[in-house]
Amino acid sequence: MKHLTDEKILELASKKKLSFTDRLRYGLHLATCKICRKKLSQERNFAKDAGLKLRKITSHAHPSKNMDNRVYAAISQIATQAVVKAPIMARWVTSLILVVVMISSSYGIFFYAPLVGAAHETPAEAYVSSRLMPVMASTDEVIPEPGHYLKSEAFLNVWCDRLMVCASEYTRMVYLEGNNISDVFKASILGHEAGVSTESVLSLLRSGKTWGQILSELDISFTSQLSIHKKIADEIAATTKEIGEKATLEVTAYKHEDGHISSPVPIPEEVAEKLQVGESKVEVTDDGFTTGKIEPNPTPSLYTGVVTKIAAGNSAFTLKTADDAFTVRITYKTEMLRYNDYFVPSQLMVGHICTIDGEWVDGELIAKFLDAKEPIRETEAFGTVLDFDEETITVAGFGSALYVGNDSEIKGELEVGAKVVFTASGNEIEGFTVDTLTSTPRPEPKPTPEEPKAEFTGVVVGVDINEKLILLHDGSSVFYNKNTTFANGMTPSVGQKITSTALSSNTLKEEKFQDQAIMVAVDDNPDLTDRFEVAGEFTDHKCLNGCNWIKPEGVTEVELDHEKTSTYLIIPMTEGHSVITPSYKGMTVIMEGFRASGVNLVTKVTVVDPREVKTHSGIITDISEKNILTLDDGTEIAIRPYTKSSNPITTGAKFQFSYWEDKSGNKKALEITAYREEKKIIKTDWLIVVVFDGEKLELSDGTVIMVDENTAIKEAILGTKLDETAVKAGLKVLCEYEIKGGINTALEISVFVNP
Amino acid sequence: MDRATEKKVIIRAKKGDAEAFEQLYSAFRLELYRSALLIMRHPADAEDAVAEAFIKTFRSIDRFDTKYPMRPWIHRILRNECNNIFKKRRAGTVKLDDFATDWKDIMSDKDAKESSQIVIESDEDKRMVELIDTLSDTHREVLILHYFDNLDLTQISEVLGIPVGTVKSRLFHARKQLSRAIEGDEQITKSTE
Repeated sequence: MKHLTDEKILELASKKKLSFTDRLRYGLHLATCKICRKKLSQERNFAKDAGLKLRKITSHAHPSKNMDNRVYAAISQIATQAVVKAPIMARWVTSLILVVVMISSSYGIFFYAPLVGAAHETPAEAYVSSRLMPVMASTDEVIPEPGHYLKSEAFLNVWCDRLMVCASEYTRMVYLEGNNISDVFKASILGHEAGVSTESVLSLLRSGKTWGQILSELDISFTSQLSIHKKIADEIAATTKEIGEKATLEVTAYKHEDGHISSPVPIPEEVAEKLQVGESKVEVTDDGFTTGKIEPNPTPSLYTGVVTKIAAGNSAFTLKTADDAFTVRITYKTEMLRYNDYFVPSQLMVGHICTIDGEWVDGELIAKFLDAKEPIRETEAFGTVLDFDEETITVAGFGSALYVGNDSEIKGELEVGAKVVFTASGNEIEGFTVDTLTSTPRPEPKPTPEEPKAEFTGVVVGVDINEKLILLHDGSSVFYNKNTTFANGMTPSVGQKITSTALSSNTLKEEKFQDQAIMVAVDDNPDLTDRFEVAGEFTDHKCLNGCNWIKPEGVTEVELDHEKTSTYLIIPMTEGHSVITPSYKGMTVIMEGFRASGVNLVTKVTVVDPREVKTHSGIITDISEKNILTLDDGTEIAIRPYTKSSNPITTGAKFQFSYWEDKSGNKKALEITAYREEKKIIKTDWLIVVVFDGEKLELSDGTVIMVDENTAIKEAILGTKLDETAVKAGLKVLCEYEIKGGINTALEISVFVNP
Repeated sequence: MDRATEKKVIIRAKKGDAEAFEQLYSAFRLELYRSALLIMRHPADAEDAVAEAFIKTFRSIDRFDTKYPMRPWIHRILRNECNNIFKKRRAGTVKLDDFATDWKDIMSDKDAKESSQIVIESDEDKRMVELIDTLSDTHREVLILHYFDNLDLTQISEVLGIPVGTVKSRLFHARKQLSRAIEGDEQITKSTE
């Protein structure tokens, strides 16, 4: 399958949606080719990104008021001029002008006094312009959009027939002199009705003259000037009608002997098959669909030949046809294709086979359509077979497609790895077809006892059946091939311990040595333990595949703060390996997995953002079989294997929890500690004892404090120790007490004993 | 402004309606100025080019065919004005390098934000500005018309008056350089992560 070029992808990506022609040419390929579709999508994303970046750097830029003032001043002047022009002149002014102009004309007096604002137009010219402008504007309804080859051809046919503009004249004006179709059409229609040449009108139009000025300079009588707009309107209406009736159009297609078709529109395969070699007329609708009607062209009009010489700048070249040689000129309006793809003059080379549709102007063929074909050449090459089937052979180092044809002579057996020497004919774009090919089979790699063999032992952490490699826990890779013997007849799976005997051999693809396994033995007594679930601070990592980041397809050793002795392996099957990056060092990670032959294989990894670790306290009311704790406020928190706890967890006790929540909102405890109520110690002011019964002390501010055997009672000034009898109603005391379980318990009482 | 409205406004402008001209000016003013700034790399020159482009557009509005969108047409006139200014500058005493210095100075000046000029806020912006400076005039032009002004290849071909194939090859080379600049950003972002 030939992929779309980068330039083609760029072009398709630039369009908001694919045109009909693009869909016809590339739609099928895009529908079936994942690579090109991906490239197209990447290109579109790139364009979006680039646009945003460019917009960002100008996002603060605003023009100054000066610019606005300048443009507004110009607007007021331009608007005034337009208003002064005749279209909206009062009827009496128009009549007056007519009378004055006619009298002046009959006396040979020219009226040149311009009106204010209409700098170069006399009133008479302005009047004529005003009648012609809307009519000329209506030509825009007839003229096809630029670049629409088929509609342009249909329009051109009708136009040339009606207005007698010959094709060479049109080609010179449009292709060589760079006029746009609209101006040429307007000039031709005015010239036709006024009886002057298209070119004379066109040159005045290009110099910026108004319609009135043009007719005046061409010495058209004023009476004719006044009526010409009607004739033009009729002509435009008739042209429009005639084009509208033209539902189909014929294009000329050229079928080369090798089946290649030169055509300005894509020819579907079923129609192409019916075409005879040489020129044919193919009927198409204006949208480019072929109707299926084809017939040989009785008067061939295309020129096919070989490019023999190219002029500097690639704007002209010499084309050698079967019986002639002449100059072909290319202009920027020439539609150029090469194998249905855009082609630019600078890509044209001597030897190209070109088919041209054009017009003769001054002895040169002006190309309107050019289709280039690469010349067929012979080549001789050699290389190693990478792949092959009945129709194609892929040879390392040979950049083009290589086909097997009916006449291809092949000696020897083709096989992957065989060395081939061949001659082929074709070109880089269409590919080459083998003329002769000799294949030398690849010698079988036979290990000899002297050859060094490598032995790898390890726990399997990944198997890639596409790359044919087994990844081991230490980061080493064991490559296998069709000759590798597996002890139990199957490729091993993750967690199995294997011993592989490998042979270092030269690989076909990368031209480097690789350890290819010849025997893989699987440990019959695997040491598999239950699953583990650990949590800790992510302190360090080491990628065992020789990189400095955590590669999804590799194996990475992760170290946690509290488990310096154990390491955990992030492997290809680890769920969440994309979320763990070196930037998460210092954060809590939770790893789940299993242990196999002494190696901790992580099957799931979760990073817990410290900001998301929450705390909660409560009395445990229930502990379920699944270790889910229910608290007195209804909260449920799960105890996990990694949950740290220094106290036995029992119902009825109050605990403090630090936990995280998973995506489903389940709370999982990281640490559980016994709840400690804060002791609060309060010191009173000097207060008067209201009542004291030996246990309960009531103070003058209403505070009630319990006194027990641990309460220290002392004399306030000397600090001498007293007993509870010293505390009497009416004395001043200073108390220090703690609140414990809602009860105020006196720690110390200082009594001011009145001497 | 959608196509239908644009068509109506242009028809009114053709009849000399000053308000219609102002509507068209408001619709394209900022877009054209920013595009010209990227091309000219100097605010005063960009303003000159944009003002002249609008004046020429409005003066020839009666020759504009409303069947086509106005955007590519006005962009074409703007490109011509930019080229005219470049030509005048080249013929005069000011070198192109002087523009570059000027635009970089303005863009690096954070205070310029207050006066609504372009500002370089990050290394990424700086690299983008440097890239625009290193591109040739022709490559810069297609790059801006495509990625900034969102014109497709056919429209760019119309604006610049060059074949689609040439647009494609210029854009291909400009894009290569742009992708190097953008990928450079991503590499730096990755390594800082």
